[in-house]
Amino acid sequence: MKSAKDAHFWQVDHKIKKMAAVRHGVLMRSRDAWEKHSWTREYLGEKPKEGYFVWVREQPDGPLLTCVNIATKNTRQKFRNLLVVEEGLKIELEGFCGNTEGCIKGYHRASGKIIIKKNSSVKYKHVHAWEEESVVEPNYEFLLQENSSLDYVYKTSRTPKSLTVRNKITCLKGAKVKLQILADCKNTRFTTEDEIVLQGEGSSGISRLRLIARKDSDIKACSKIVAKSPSSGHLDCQSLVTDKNSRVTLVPEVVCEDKDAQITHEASIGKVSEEQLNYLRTRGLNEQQAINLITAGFLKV
Amino acid sequence: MQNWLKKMTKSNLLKVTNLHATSHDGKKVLKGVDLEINKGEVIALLGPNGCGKSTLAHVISGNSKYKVDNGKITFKRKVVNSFTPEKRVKIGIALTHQHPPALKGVPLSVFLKIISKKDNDKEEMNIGSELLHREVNLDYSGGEKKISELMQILKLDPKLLILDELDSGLDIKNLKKLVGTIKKELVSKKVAILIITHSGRILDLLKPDMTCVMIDGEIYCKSKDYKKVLKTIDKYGYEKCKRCPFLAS
Ligand SMILES: Nc1ncnc2c1ncn2[C@@H]1O[C@H](COP(=O)(O)OP(=O)(O)OP(=O)(O)O)[C@@H](O)[C@H]1O
Ligand SMILES: [Mg+2]
Repeated sequence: MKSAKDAHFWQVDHKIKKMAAVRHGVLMRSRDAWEKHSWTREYLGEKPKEGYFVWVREQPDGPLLTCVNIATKNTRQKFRNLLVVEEGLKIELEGFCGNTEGCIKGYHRASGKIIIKKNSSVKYKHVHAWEEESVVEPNYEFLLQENSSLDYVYKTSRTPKSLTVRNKITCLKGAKVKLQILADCKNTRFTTEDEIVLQGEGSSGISRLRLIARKDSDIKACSKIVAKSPSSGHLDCQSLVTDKNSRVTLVPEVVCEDKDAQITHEASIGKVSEEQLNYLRTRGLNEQQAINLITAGFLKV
Repeated sequence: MQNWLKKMTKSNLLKVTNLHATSHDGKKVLKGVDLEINKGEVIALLGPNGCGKSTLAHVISGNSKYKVDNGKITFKRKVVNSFTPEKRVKIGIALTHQHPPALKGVPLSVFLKIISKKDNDKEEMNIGSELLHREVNLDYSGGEKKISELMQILKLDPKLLILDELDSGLDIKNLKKLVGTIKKELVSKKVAILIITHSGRILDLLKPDMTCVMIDGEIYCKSKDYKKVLKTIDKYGYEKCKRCPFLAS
């Protein structure tokens, strides 16, 4: 997405700036969906105040783009989103949320449900860039029906003072998920809690976390995989600390409830390697440039 | 200018005097190294495993892992002991590493652009293009690492290049290609070269002006005839080098 204007859905503060008609399905406010399609109430719960509903019913020809901004100080957004992808489709989503230039404070809460029906695959790139004083809490739940797949990347390049990210993913029979949380943290309290439930036989899940504590950050990452059937899962949690005033806590948790399941995990916290640093300096980069290059590489998808 | 006057006024490109260095865990590795390299000169440095060749290369290029306890490193008449590695690169010191680390997430093509001191995007090498899209040194074979090292160094436009076992791990065809590039891009432009090696292969191709042998952190002999040095090492081994009957400098 090059600019917010390219988005299918674009909201600033509480105002919807754009809601494009989508050929391949339905895009509307989630409160309207709650009125119009009663079946959505099961997922949306109480009638939402703001948020969007996307119902993809046919194969789209390009990615679906959403953009949410806070431009006015102290705006409190409370999104409730629902995305439903019908069977046998292959879709790409890109979502961006962040303050607009000059606005450093806002509250953004978003809870979303994403239903991916049989044999569909979804690639979802979710990018956040929030300013200093903001408080941000995305909370997403994914249901992956039989043989569907999800490749979800959450990336935050600028962190607000408080950021809490929650993701819960349930995989039915044969469903596959790869979840990636990539965070470059500066002056922040960042909490991420993710849980993959391998409900159905033959399902699989990978959770990959790459977290950088760059400056005055307190990071806590709880990453969990629960295997309830013959399935496979892997947790891969790594953190780099480049600052002496930061703290990182990694809590990987693997739960196995089936003797034929296999779940593995690895977790590590380290500093930038001296060897790499020296190598880059013998190529003419100064220490800060070298650290920036190493950390950028570390956050690559 | 008369020859003797030229000689007197000529200053070395690199001059290392009485260099003592310790690794970060306190091991004394260099114990009084003296070495001089002039512009355009090709010098070979031989020595048994662990004698300190790579350490010398790292200390010259400014690796902070080693502490210089004593001695001076002079480059282009400046004492560079306190220079950062990047500053040394800037003034023209470059090193191809014996064991270069991998840089995850950084494609070689991108890296070459980042480090390049040159304005043009010219490809100096006729090999290595298949490595460009791969992450730097990640899962490279031994020989591929050497090719990538040389590709990088050529972007730095050095005045002095230290090749730390560039030849090891390269098949003869690739070694010839790399040496061809070194001759064309560096030797012909009067770049000085310090070749650290265990084998005569690269020396046959690059014909050093001077060959030095390092043993236990000191340079014991210097000779213009690398073949003679290699033969002697072959016949008597390094152990006897210290008491070498033929090569006493
Ligand atoms: N950082 C370090 N910590 C501890 N010991 C070190 C360190 N660096 C080098 N050494 C030791 O110093 C000695 C010299 O090492 P160096 O790598 O310079 O040898 P070398 O002459 O290059 O050997 P090779 O021919 O095997 O490459 C070795 O005994 C090595 O183990
Ligand atoms: Mg060595």
